[in-house]
Amino acid sequence: MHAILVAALLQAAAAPAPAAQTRIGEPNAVAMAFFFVFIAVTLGITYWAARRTRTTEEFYAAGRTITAGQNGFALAGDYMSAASFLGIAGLVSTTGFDGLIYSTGWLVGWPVVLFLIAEPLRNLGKYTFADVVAARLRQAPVRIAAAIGTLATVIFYLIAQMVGAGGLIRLMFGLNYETAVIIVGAAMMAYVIFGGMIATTWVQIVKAGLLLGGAALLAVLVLAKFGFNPLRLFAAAAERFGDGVLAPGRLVTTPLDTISLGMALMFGTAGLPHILMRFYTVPDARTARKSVFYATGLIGGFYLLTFVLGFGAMVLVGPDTITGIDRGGNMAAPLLAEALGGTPFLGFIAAVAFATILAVVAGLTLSGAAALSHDLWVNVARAGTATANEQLRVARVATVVLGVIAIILGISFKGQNVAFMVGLAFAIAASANFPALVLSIFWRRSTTQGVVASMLVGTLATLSLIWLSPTIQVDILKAPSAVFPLKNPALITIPLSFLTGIVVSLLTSDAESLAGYERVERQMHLGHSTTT
Amino acid sequence: MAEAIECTREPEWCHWLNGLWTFGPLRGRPGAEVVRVAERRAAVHVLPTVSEHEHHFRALTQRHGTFAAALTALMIVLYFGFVLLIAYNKPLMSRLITRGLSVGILLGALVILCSWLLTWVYVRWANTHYDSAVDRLNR
Repeated sequence: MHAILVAALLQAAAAPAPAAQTRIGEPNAVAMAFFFVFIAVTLGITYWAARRTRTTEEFYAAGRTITAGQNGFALAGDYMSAASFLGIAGLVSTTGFDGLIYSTGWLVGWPVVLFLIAEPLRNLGKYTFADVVAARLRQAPVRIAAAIGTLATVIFYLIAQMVGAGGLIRLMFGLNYETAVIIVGAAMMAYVIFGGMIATTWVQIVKAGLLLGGAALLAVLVLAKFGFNPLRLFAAAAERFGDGVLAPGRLVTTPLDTISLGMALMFGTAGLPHILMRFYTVPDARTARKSVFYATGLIGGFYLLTFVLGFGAMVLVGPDTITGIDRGGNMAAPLLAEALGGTPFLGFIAAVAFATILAVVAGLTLSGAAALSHDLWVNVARAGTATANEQLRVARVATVVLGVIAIILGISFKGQNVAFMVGLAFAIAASANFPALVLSIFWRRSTTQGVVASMLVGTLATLSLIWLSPTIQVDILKAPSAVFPLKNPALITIPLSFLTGIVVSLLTSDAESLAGYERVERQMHLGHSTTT
Repeated sequence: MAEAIECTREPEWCHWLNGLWTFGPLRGRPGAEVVRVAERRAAVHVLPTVSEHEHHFRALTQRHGTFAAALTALMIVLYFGFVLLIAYNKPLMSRLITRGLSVGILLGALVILCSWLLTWVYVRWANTHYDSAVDRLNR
């Protein structure tokens, strides 16, 4: 998003912004205090959870005891990353209306998750989304392909979060980048290794509550200055910076890019492994359904709040001050907090942003570890014969491996522009995982070869088109132009992946899959497959 | 009730078509699908050898599939309608309705409200009609 932001800044308002004194970047006692309280509370939760994590079902799926309301908060917690909190607020504060494209895009994936994926997933699977795809197809090839899609999504998402965390913490706490990355990695590993899904879920719930509470409080403080009427806030922004801030701006000069990004956001949500895994933590499909309803409400409300925060920062802090602190505009929400509530409120919002990253990273790592251990080790290498103890041991080793990889990648990508990696993770999820789920759940005729081909083509096409896109070629490698014109490849790769799956399925035959469809259909709707 | 097309050999498209005029969160009363299936069976004698249970199950999957697909399509139309307007009709989106409110901001907020509304419609339909049908089949 950085690249787009910088471009958008060129048109940022010419009006002089009030010169603000900021304490951002200095060690902040309040931020430190909040941050240590959060770490202490979450480690306490982990200790409590560790004593309840003895079986694989408890480790991966919190013993399937999470309620609809709790899971709604946990889903929202997993989804509302620092990119969406700081990123969207920053985008709105510097470009106005354009930030709304992201807000809506990030929300509209949720109804799709509800209508097509949540209930079948809960009824058909155990721990990972590969369980569902492999329900009537051949285990080994499907799980290997699904693990590739999962790990690609998780790794790119992790890099973006880790690099973001390092930069953010340095900006807000004055801590050294490497130290920050190691703290995030270590805390996240502690949650996952000892507390498994129970700890991860409660960390998400606490974080979602803090983030929503913090954003709501900030929005109320902003609106209080405008008679609690958002329109007066928007009007004040338009008065100072021109009516352009209420209209589509430079961000959407290329329509196809906008559409492609929209597709990645809408269908990527339904293919994010750490989100899908949450549906296994509830007792049944009905609870899964209700939890998406709550999550959609919370996430939509949150994005409406960030829109208000963005405009609040534009009017009360000023785009010039915001981009003076961080060129990407990411400090808009913390700066707004400082302007409204002084250093203590800045400290609180900074600590919330940090907690946000920590929680998202933990969720991602757990889903990656599940793909490594449950899909690759238990079901492929050991062909489903591993004992419960062995499964748990492998899951924990996988968590350490992923945690260390995340720390190493986080440090080695220091100072790089990695914001595009979130978009890339969404594009892979939308082009590799989502088509495979839809084809295997809803299409009787799909074959092992077809679905595997669709997942592999989806992943590889996304990776290569991103490599050839202006995001890498022009912005990072400084080439004069790029072979592939779109910044996000979803417009091409989602149809390509579906087409591959359909064509290859029609060209091959899979008697086992065809015969198994009726059983899968019963399981999906009735929760069991016995026929009467 | 609208007439059903005769589905003598159960081609999938035929059931899908039938589903089209029987879906809707507000049209079906509890147990309506059972009545419909019974009516249809009485009317066209579809596959008399298949058990009652199987028929109810087919009706369930059809109605669920149609409903879920229709809502998904609606969501796609709403969101991409918004995105396409941004991409190809900036003047409309920039027009001010009142001080501080452009068409674009209003439509963006409406997309968010519609996402909520559609999830509410689905959950309501599933909680009342779909769940009771599943329970009857599981009894």
